[in-house]
Amino acid sequence: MRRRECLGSLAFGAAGILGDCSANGHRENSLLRVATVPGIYAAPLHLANELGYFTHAGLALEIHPMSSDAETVPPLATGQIHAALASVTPAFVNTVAKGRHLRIVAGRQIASPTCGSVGTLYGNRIAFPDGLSDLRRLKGKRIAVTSATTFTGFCLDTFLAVAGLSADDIERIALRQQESIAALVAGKLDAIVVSQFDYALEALSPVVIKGIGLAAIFPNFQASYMMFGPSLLEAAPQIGTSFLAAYLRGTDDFMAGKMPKFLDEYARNSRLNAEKLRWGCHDWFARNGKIDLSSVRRSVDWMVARKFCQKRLEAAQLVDTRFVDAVEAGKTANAIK
Amino acid sequence: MSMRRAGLALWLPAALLAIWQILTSAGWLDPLFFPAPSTLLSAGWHMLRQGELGEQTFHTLVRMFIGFTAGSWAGLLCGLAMGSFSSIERSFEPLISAVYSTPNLTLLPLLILFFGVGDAAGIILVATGCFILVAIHALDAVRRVNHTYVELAANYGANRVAILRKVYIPACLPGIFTGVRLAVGRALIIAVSVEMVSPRNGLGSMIWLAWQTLSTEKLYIGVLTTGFLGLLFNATLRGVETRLIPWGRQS
Repeated sequence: MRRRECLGSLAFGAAGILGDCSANGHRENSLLRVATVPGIYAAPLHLANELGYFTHAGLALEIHPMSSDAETVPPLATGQIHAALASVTPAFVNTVAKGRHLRIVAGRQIASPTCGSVGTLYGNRIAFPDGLSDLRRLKGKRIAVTSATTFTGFCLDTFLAVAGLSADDIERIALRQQESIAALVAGKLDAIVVSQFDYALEALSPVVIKGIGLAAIFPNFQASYMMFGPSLLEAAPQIGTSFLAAYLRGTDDFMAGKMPKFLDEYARNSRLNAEKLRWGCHDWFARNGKIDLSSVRRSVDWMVARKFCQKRLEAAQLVDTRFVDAVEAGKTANAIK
Repeated sequence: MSMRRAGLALWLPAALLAIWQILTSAGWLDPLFFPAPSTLLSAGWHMLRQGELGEQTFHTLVRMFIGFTAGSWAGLLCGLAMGSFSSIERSFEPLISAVYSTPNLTLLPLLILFFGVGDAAGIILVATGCFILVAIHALDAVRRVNHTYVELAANYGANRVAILRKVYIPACLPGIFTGVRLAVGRALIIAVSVEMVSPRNGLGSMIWLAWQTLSTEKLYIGVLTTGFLGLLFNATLRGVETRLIPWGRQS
């Protein structure tokens, strides 16, 4: 058994993940590099790490913060990182279309109607004196998204489609979130779609009004996933399963109310209200990691329609359910025992 | 002689491209991240024929030239005034030094608050960068004028206008032109950078979109086109400088 573990570890090491067997057969933890954009949605990962679930599974986790979901794709494709927690981006779909073995292996966050401001439209009160309930009022307005190709771009196009408007009916501006909030408050923008959890916007209520969120249009839309690169998909799937099982254990704990220290630091660094952050989004995760194919399909259809992706891939071509199934089977086996 | 100069200028890029092509063809470079130069050439040609490359380049050039023209003229006048009057120099120099040492893009959020999220903020940022460079070089050029020549011209009976025309302007032009040449490069850098941070259209926007969608061919073409434009402007201005100010190189 020990020999098999060592051989597994060596195969893993060959794929770029450090696993070491010393002469006496002692097995050290395998180093696993995971990329994520810092934020509330990385909380289950940090919680699982802080509670030692990864160490218990024989893994040493190295968390690499990224500034955008698209940035996780090149290091994932080259094996510099082994897993990523991100949304489905055109970069991901295009890389898979070019034959790279990257896959979505688990579902994570669901766009929530109650969780802060993610995927929500905010308007300047002067630009929308009658409120933002009627999306047709967006016509002719200046609206900022963080990037045309990301989740906020998808949300804005969804809002426009619901209102029967096209992309040409508005002036779309790409700006980072903090700059767009400042411009919105200064009246230089009419509306923004928010990408990150930011309760600071609620405090601006005299100037800023809250509009519709994506969850009101697509309930239970899955907005974020776990992706694996070739090293976990091909060379060491058993380590991928262990990682996912530990992560999902962290998700269960997070949803049950346990909080990682990471959230306090994040709140402090982002000047957010820690208490609101603590309870804001803890119940909007896919508990069992099941992937919602309709959400993936919707995202890909949008990317193709906007010409961010040249090749249309079926949702099933982007997904590998072996890991979620294996974790589920493990749970069932434990339950039977 | 000119053939030799052209050969010296071209051999290194040509060699690098050849090595790049060989490494990609042999499979030593990952074509997903390092597409072969031949692939880039065909993708670039396709983008040119579709009009995409021309359109994006046009948007960048418009922002660049409006900002460059406004900023350079203002910088020239300010630099000359500072060089001519010490009170103006003392008033303006701290501000110019402060802005010079501030990374241009850090001013963008403030400019967006003042001028809105349209093109104005980006163009003003380009103009600011050009203003600072040209002003500093114009000031330096005036300072470096050899006063022996001024005194000599005065001794020969030249009036103030003649001294300005015959001594100051010819003596200052090489320095000012160096500032203008550097300002064109700076204008291009700032225009593309602004388009990357606040993308609407232009080469910077194209590069950013290519990065976000991992369309590496487009990304390389955007970067190479920007580099080519920089090279073109620099070579053109050097040619103009040699023709208009032949004494500049000698001095």
